[in-house]
Amino acid sequence: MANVTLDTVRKTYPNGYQAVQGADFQIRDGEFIVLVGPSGCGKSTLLRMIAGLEDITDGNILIDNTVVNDVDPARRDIAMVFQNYALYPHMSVRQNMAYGLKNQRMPKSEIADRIEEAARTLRLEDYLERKPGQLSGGQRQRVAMGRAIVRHPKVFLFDEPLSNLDAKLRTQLRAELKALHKRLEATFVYVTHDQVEAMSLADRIIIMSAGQVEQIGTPMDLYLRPASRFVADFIGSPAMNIVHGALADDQASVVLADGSALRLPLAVNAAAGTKVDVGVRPEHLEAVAPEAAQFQLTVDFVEQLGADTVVHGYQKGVENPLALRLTGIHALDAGEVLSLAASADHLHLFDSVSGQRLN
Amino acid sequence: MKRVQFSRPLFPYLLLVPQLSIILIFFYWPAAEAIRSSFYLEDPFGFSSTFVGFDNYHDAVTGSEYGNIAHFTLVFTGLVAFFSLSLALLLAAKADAVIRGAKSYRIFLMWVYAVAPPVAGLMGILLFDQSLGPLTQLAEFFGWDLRLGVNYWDTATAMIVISVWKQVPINFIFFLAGLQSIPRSVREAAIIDDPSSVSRFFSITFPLLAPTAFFLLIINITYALFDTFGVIDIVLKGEPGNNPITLVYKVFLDGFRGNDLGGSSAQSVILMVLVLILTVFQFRFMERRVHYS
Amino acid sequence: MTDVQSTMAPQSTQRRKPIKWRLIGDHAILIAGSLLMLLPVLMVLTTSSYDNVTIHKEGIQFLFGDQLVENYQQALFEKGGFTKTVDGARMLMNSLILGFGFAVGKIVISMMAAYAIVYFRFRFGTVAFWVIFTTLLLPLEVRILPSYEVVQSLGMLNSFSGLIIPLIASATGTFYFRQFFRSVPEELLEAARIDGAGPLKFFVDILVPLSQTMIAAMFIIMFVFGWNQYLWPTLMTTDESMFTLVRGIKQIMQVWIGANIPDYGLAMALAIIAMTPPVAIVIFFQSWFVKGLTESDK
Repeated sequence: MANVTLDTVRKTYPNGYQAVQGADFQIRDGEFIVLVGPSGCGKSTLLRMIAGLEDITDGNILIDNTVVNDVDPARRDIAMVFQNYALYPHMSVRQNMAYGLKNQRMPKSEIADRIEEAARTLRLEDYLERKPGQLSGGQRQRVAMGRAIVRHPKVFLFDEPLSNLDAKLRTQLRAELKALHKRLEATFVYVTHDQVEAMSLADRIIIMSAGQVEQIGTPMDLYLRPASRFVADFIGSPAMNIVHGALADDQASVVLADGSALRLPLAVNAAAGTKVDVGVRPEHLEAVAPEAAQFQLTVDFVEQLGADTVVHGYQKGVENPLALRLTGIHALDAGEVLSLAASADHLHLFDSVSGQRLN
Repeated sequence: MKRVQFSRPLFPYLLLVPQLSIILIFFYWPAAEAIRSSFYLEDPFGFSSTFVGFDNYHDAVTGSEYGNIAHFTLVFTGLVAFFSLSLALLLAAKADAVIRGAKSYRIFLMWVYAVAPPVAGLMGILLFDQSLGPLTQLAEFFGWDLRLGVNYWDTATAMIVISVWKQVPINFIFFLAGLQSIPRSVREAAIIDDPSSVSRFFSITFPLLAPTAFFLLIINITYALFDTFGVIDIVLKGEPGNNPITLVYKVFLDGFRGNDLGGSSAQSVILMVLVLILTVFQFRFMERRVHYS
Repeated sequence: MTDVQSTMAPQSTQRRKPIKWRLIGDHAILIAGSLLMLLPVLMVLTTSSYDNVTIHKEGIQFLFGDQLVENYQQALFEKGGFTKTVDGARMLMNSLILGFGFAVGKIVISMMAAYAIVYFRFRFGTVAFWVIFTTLLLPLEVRILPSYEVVQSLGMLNSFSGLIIPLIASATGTFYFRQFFRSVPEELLEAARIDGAGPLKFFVDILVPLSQTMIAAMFIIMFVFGWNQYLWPTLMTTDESMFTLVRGIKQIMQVWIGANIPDYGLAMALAIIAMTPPVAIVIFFQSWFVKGLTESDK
């Protein structure tokens, strides 16, 4: 088990494209870290650099406090689970798991023990002699995991391992992964573009955009206090409502496009007149008396999800459509006007230009 | 190339040594030699040679026969490519449409791929034989006095028929594969949009097959130019006389029978240029073809 | 609803299935095409079972005669040609050596080269690529005379190496394997590297087993190609004991000229013998062969 440190790691491709622009963080021993972001944000490149499959242009990667920049992938004491599993199609499940260990010249009896142990953990005992082609998607995924487990690596690396599975299986394997992490007490680095996966699995999330780390924190940190508009928008579904405006002179309200004002019950450290984006999550809006309202939402259409009701609507002076999430079943008609407000700690204020958090 | 590659100092060179040395000795050396000797005139006994510039080319192209042979090669290539492609396309479209017996038809229509051109030629001259050939008798039934090896165009007909027979299977294989790679959903959408199977074939299926057809066209031209040598040599029984021959056959005749090294080489180089143009054309097209899929 | 169904039902049972004329047309065309391919060979096969006099008098035969065994025995075991040193069995052996040697040599050499080109980053990699793939541009036929002279000057006339190696000097196999290797998922190499496999191990443990189907398909295509060579063996081999079957066809033709009653039966038997092995391989392994042929052109 080990920690992983990235010290101003950069990756620039020969064509000049900067895939990763200075990643700087430490992953603690036994931590479940999820790297999340939209496709092309550099998260996979980062993972592959930790694995040693991709050279780093600048900076240092340390595993267990040792610089591994030039160490061969096979000698970094890591294991990786690939998105398409990358199982050797001509080898049986047992041979797939044994291949890496054989190359380490491990004694046969120990290889057998390790495979047996992994097969038991992953409930693969009955499939050991099968070829990958004879297995279902979920089973192949488990074999890929088994191939990683038998190595007893210091760090497990996962590159979108669940994205090729259907929704139900994904939920099930998510729970299994979480349990596996608990049992192995190993360091997990997990890449995904799915924010739900990130939220449910991670001890800490590293959220990336355009080659840069946007925020590092626990799932609740990211949800409750997103450091930037990008993070606010990426985490949570339906996405956070964003209202464009400018900070009024009293610094306690925001002037919207049509000149109306939106009251802000919070302290803001920015100059009057600054263009700002106000964010509030759909589930944090509450119905209030019309005179206490921050928002006047005109209902457009309603999604009945059973446990929740999501109301979509619009407000004069606000460019973006707005959403409201209510618990339980509610019947609302199009055209109805709702008076809504959110408490101070559920309002987020971002600089329109830089996207950075202002409150 | 691969995103991740090995970088070892020596290993890749070791892997390449056999291929490169064979290619250098048996491809580049002869090719260079052909170009060199096309500019030289060798005396009949091979003792000396003199540089003559483009004389060999000039002599070759202006020779009385060359125009005729080039003309025949063009006609021959065009007819062989046209008939073997269209026949194969018809059969492939039908083989793709039927379900019962599809497998047997496929075998019956493709196995001739494995028959060598000279063997096809031998069978051809038996079937076109003056006294016992059933095809000669068939021609006679239609009032055509077919005389293989005597009449110029009768011989040409036999060459074309044999060459087409030999080439249909490979075209069939590619056309059928092309047809089967058209997604089921596209066909079904077309069936809903267009009730006529004939117009469906020309408006949907054929455009989707166009890349395959183009690829095959080049293959067929190359085949008719070069690989029919065996057919022609056997049909002529090695003695062309007044019968039609193709450009490649003339290269062979001048070089090995006529001992005209320079002239034969000059003709080789002309053919090289021709093939080069064809292949570059094909590569350019194949590059663009990537966007289709 | 039940009413409607009960009134509809008798009608629909009465209605006859329409005759599918189009389907019949399709089958007719396919049967005609199959016969076109089959009949010439069948005629040669049946006629090859008669003696020369019968054939000469009565022409092509459509049923088997009584000379089948004799003609094939003669074709295989009676020494023929000008020098009477070669029989069909010897030519069959030579054809097998040519087909097999060519296929194996080509596969081994082109797999190695394709592996280097696809999986390694090295100086002159691009140069090597172009040197190899330029050979796709020019078939052997257009450089036949100088190739002959090179082989002659190396003293390789009338030898199997002279017969086989120059035929390998083209990049078709390398091209096919390159295309195939490029289609192998990248992650497989990455997984193998994490599993500690070096270049040689990856090639032997992963890539070669993965290429099995491709190798089989290549083998069939190359075997048929080698077996069916005509022009090159015709030039290369003057010694009759080196003749292949396909090369031997020409010899028969030359003995034929001027003969009173040509050796029809023998010629036909030899033609059948010459086509049987490659045809059998293609039919027997047709799925591999078709896959290799059509998937490698992409």
